[in-house]
Amino acid sequence: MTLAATSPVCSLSEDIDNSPYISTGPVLDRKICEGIRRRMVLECCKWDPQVEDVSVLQPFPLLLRRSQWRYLAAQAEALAREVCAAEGALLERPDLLAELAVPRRLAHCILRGLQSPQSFAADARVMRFDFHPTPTGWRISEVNSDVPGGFSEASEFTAMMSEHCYGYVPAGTPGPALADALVRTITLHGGGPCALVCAAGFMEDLQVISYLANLLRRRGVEAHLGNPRHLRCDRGKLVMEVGSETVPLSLVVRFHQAEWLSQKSHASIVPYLLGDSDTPVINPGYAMIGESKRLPLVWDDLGLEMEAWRRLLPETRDPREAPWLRDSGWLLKTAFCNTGDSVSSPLTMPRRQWIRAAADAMLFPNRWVAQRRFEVLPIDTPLGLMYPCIGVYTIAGRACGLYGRLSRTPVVTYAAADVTVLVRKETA
Amino acid sequence: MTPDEIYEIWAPAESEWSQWVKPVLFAHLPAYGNGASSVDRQEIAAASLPHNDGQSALVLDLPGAMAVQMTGDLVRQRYRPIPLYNSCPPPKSWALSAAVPHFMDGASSGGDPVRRTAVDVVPIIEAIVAMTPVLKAASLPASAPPAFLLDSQRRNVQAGYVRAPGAFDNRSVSLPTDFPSSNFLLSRGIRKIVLITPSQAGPEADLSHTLLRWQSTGISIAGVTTASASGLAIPQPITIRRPPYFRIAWYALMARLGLRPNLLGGFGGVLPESGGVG
Repeated sequence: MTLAATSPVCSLSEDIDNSPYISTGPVLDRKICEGIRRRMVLECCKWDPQVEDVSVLQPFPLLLRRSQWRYLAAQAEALAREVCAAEGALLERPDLLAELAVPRRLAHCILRGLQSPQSFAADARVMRFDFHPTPTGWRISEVNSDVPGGFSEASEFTAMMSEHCYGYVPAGTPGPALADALVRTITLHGGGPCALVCAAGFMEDLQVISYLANLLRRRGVEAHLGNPRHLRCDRGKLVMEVGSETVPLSLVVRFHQAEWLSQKSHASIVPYLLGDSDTPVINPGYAMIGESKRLPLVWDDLGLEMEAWRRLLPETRDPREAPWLRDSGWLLKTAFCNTGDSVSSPLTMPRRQWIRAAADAMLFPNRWVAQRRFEVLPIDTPLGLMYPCIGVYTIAGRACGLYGRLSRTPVVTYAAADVTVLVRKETA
Repeated sequence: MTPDEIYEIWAPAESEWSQWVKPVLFAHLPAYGNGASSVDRQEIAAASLPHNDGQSALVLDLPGAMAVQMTGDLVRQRYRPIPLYNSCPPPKSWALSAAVPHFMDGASSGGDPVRRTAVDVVPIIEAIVAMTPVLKAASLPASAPPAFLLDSQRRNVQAGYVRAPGAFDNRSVSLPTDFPSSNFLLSRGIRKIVLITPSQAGPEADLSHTLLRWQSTGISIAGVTTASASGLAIPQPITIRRPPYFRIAWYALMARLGLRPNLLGGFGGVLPESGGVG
């Protein structure tokens, strides 16, 4: 819950540029792109490189000035601090967990985790803030504080593309940075094996933990893949069933949405995986608090300033308190909206789907939020006008890399393409 | 051959259909690609495969490695096989370890040997390796129409599989986004899809979503089964029935979450947890 003390990427005295204008680099040679795609699928666990007719690895980079990166990094670090402050404040107001649409079955575990915070988890706590350029500056749509992904694309794809973009470099390598942080945590807890768990059937999640497992193995860690059903608690410590063996763990990487763990079948492991055990779990269960799109509804009740969040997040209200039905300037999203799947607006979806979403929001308003729409500035890319979303990773509160996506529509969904974001090289 | 060379043969840069090749099994070649020598080739007379008129593409939804084993026949008819397998083998350590203790005496209640993996994709990997020289020797032209290869058992557990902690559940679904759109197919002159299945039971529910999208834009769908001992019969036109939740935006998520009965059989309240990963 408490972030480790780290020095920020920049200080306010440094050159900072809040301009939301992004440029694009040239399209790389076809052969180079094919080579990059092959390395990504065979070596870097990028197993979903195609969605229908679209290759998701874009052949050109997005380019930022270093001063723009400093701005985004500073904002992400401020947002991360405020998320942690909100988590801490909820300890005093546990009744508000219900307001966040945290499933009742999980609320007790989340509270246990908050009451006995795994201080060691903070060293590898990872979040990703999604920034959108708008005519009035950068806006954020959400924080992926529970199970942020995209590490391979943000690290390996970006590094490969930057080799061909003179004068520009990656802002960071969040995958290796996270692996290093995980290794430090493992070392502090006995240096034993690590388990990485995700939900079955989700190839996009499996590829994330496979990539992280490869990074950990290269660092000498015994890394096992599985799902929560492979874990159990033995005298306060998490262990994993691997074949015929029971392996005691020094760390669990949970790449499994916390809200999906509310199923009865997970009941035996959830108190330890989301709550309190002697084995560190990254991210901890209380990370789902920041993931709730309803968190802004309780800021005032928690007595929090949330300066960066209030400045960057569009106005967010309970659906009962916003005129979304008659004003298309508002959209709806579920409290635990993932990859934009449930972002609903009459302007961007078929009428029948909108009616279905609106009816659900009226019947179950405490599972939804209404949020003011913001206009995303499209950028002129070699493939036409597209809408960018720039994810900024923080690890232990420190900004450490960028993850870009491009969408044909203003709402970035699972079908968005991955694009490298490069930063102008620092001149001496 | 290295995994990179094998992938290059199955997904050559000059074919625009290569972009749909699913890389998952190729990424696991270093761990599982060495047992390929004993793979059987599925001998179905090339003449009985649908004639390649340049306007047809094939979808082979056949059990296990059978579709890959038909590579020889496919390339003789100048179809380019496009593997669409989307499931992982278990981690090697898992596969090599002895029986899981709670699997007791090594026999399931049905009398089958105990299996710890829901869907056995290792034979598919081995078949890919075994068929690579065949595909390479065929020197298919860049314009060769696609034959999409699927495992019809992808959503079902194999006999003897015991779903218990420690087991490896790698079931998967086929989604419309795994295939080219009808626009793309039509733009490349593909007017007809021939679906090859093991029986006349009709297309799998998940595949119906893709087929119906194609059919609704004027692409004709014909079906043929491999059940006949004399080889494939003449493809017969089929009408794809509207599957549940057709064109619902959240279908992909629902299918994988198992929020509706009859798909993965597993996750999300209505269905029990769907198990493991690789």
